[in-house]
Amino acid sequence: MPLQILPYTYDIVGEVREFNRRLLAGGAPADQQFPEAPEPRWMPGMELFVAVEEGKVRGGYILRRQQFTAHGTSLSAAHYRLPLSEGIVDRKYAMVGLRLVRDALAREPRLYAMGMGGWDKPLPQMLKSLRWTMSEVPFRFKVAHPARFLRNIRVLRTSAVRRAGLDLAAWSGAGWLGMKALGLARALPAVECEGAERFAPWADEVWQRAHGGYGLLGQRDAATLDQLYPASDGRFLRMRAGGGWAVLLDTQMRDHKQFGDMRVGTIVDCFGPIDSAGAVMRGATSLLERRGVDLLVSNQSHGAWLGGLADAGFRAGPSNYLLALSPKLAEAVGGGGIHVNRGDGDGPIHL
Amino acid sequence: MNEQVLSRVCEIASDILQADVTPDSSPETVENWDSVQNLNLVLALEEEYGFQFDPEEMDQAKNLTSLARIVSAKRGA
Repeated sequence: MPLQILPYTYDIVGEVREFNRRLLAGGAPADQQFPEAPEPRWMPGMELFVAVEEGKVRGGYILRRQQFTAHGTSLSAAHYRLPLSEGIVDRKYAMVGLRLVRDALAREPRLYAMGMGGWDKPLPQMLKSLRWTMSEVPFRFKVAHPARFLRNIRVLRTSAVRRAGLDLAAWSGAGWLGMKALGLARALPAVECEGAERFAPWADEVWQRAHGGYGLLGQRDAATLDQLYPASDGRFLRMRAGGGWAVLLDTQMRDHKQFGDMRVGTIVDCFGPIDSAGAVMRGATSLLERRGVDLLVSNQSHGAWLGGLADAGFRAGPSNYLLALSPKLAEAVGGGGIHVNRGDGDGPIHL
Repeated sequence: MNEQVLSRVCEIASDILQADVTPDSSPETVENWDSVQNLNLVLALEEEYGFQFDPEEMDQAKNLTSLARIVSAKRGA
């Protein structure tokens, strides 16, 4: 029986478990596991597919269908997420990766992929070969508490000598002074902003007023936002300022692979008229600083929102958060003005 | 099967995989032949011969000989 790509149903859950077990045994990272239930409910609009050969699962992927708007025109597209192939641990299945992406494109020619862990990973390399339009979603950060930053930032603490130097800088106050001098730890004066318990109904008016100004933008009306960031989930902070809004996270990390034990404030999502970006980012930054986070982070693609972050004291850091648009989606967008952030794709996972 | 096609498929595969190959070479015998290189090889062959492999054909392509056989058949079709 040739390899077939089929909708994921409950009768094959056992084979998905076996597939996951083979991936782990073959040395695949622990986060490379396909859901062991066909209806993961962490985001709306999901469809799951598995690649089956002679009763065995050899791969799978998820499509998350979404509405977008490109220069004010509505269009449907889908997030191509978590494509997994047994080819990553057994080269006999090297063809599965291409089968998966071509199957997904046949179901929805307008696809995008996000995150992906960096340029060196197989998925972005494959999508690049397939002539998808690839870019980095810029990463910005701002240090609020230099000593805690220096003691916890894993990406800098890579050797015993470096760790000792950073600990000394944290203990002596030299790190604080240095960051202040460089403007890396400049707190904003308190900025007024308004909290909100949910997005309905006010976010619809923002959406109507502002969505036409963007080259590509995922639907951000009130109903969509209240699904993505439900009022029942106490982690999400919603704030309004200057005619726009932002969704924030304030997370106490525990042994995080990048942030150690820092308290990290994330500007996850934001939207509004382009000229509201500065006020929204200043308000969001001020709110997170007042809450006492150690480090603020955000991934944003749109120039106006990046400008807002720069005005609020954020600096550029290396980004391994990528955006890939299939040729049909890139054609529909036709240029710049793309507004994506951690609210798109997988949503704010690992944050 | 057309021997010229087999020779050309091997040539393209050697170039893409940066390895010495034989008609029996497959992902299991060539270290560099992973998912990404498999995709690059398929795309290179599609560009060379001006067609796209069907999904079932990709399943049948277990080594370079079977790839060349599919290419020959498609060209003859």
